[in-house]
Amino acid sequence: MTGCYGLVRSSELETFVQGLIGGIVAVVVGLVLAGLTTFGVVNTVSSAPSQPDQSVMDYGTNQQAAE
Amino acid sequence: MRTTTGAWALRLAPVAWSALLALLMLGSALSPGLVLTYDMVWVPDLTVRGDFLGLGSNLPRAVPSDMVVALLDDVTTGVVLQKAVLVGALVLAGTGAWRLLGRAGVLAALAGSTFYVWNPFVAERLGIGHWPLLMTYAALPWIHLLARRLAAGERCLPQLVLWLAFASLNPVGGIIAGLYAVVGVAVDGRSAARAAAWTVASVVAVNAPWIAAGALHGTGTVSDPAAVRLFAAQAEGVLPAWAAALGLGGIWNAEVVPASRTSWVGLVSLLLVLAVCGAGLRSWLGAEGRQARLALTAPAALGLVVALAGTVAPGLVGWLVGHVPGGGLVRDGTRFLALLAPLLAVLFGRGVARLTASVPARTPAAVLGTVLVLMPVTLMPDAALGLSGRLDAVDLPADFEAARRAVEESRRAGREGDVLSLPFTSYRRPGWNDGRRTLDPVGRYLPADYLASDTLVVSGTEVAGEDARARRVARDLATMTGRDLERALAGEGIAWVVADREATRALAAEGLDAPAYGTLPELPGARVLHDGELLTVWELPDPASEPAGTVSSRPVRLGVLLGAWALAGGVVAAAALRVATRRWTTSRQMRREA
Repeated sequence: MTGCYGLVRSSELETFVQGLIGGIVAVVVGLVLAGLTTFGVVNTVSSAPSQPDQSVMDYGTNQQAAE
Repeated sequence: MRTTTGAWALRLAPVAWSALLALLMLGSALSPGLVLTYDMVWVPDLTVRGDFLGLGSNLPRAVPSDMVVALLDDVTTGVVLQKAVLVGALVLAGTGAWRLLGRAGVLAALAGSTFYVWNPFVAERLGIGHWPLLMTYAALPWIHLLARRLAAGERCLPQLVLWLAFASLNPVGGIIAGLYAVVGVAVDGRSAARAAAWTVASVVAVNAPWIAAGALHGTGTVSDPAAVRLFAAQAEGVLPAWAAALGLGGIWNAEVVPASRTSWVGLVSLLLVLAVCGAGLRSWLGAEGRQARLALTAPAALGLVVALAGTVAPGLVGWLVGHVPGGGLVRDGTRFLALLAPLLAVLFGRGVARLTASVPARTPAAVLGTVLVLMPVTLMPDAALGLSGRLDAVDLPADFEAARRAVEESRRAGREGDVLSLPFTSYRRPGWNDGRRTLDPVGRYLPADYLASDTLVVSGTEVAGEDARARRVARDLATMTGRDLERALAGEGIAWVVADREATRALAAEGLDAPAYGTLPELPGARVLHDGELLTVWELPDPASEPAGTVSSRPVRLGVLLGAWALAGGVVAAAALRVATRRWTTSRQMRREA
């Protein structure tokens, strides 16, 4: 970063800024995904939808559960 | 030393990572006992019987899987075999996807492997118990790689035959795997014509048992067209059917869809997966040749079309199912989404590698890479621990064993015939299985061929089965009583009647204890062989004559089927021998050179 008495060469500056932006983007994306995941897990576990009441002889249902 | 350790770690990584994911997903399914969920019904010891060859009156949907299980569980127990199959399928799926991405780097392989094991297709098919289809799914990456090597002129047909046999334990699996193999070779055009012809011949040979059994049923293999709408791809939460299928979900049965897929998390998951796949597209286009790309995209497109056909064009698919023998194989079209999964896994893996590489700083890149690799797991967390407890293993009641002994003693005394399982409905929700739905397990537990209902009920709508004998027996149960019923059942080749009291009570509680379901059979001349807490076994009076209509046709059918089994077995044995001989020769050469 030095070598020019405190002046920064333009290519090094470019690399540094790219790294900084990339790093910030990566951390933000990571945090957003982590947040989504945490919320998703909590949401999934706490509000598992109940299935429509099916007959004992049914193979299953193709009707979506009511939230 | 460090290099050697590193090389070993790298070699073990695909298996170790896939095994970790498999154990996390299966969870309680691996505890002592058997898992019974929908179509997955295993018993401690499945007895070899004629119907498993394809001789039965029902369609050969479980040919050859039932026979393979019946033979293998003589070597080990059904409990061990079921767990080995479930873990093995997921581990082979993960390692296969890893190999598909071998040239794209470790991160891409890790991400592709995670996606291939942890996605809605695997979770939903595991939930509904389609284990032979999961074996097919596991084999697809391996089949693709071998097909490409075969097209390039390598002599690897024996290995391909073994993978095809592994993948073809039921008709749909055989079609999916066969299609994948043939397309994988044929895309090379004229230069691979000979290899393609050998591949087609191999596919026909390993699938010969169910093809022959199906052909012997003739027009009996057409199905109820009404089923197409019931088994079509379904929306999942906010995702319409086409979007759910694009993300490898959309199974017809809402009961087995993970809850995370029905919330907004499903939408976020699909958008993120598609975005990452999009990021990997350019890298994939640059890395693979036209034919290799076509070998993945052509089956993927076909899989998506078949999966959505029942939703988009139910009339056309209904006609196919109702008029073309074997057309019923496409009615649950989302099974064919297996053909789309390898392409998505490759794009996802490459996308993760590309996005991570675009971050110049090391630590944030590592954070992003880790988050993206784990994304399939974190956005469908309820697939973990045995699909959140849906796959808990249970012990089958002791009463089943007592009923089995009773039928065995009767057979030793010289009685021959089939078991009729009552109530005459396909599915049960036994208390001993924690109320989870399962195909009637009684017939499989007993040591003789059995007749069970093949009528399916989806959301209260009945889908007629294909078994003419089952239809006749249902009519007899509805219209006859006493000695007349006994004679009619004996005429259908029934020697023993088994009634499940718990299932009968459950039907009665819902007001469904109609005579057609055989819930209260009156059999005055029958001898009670066993009367336990759950099961009652009767032996019908011996009609002292062969059941009508089976004497003349049976030896011919048996001859045809044995021929088909011999063809499949012979081809697989020859391939195994060839692979073993080649390995032995190679290792001997290496020892000599060392």
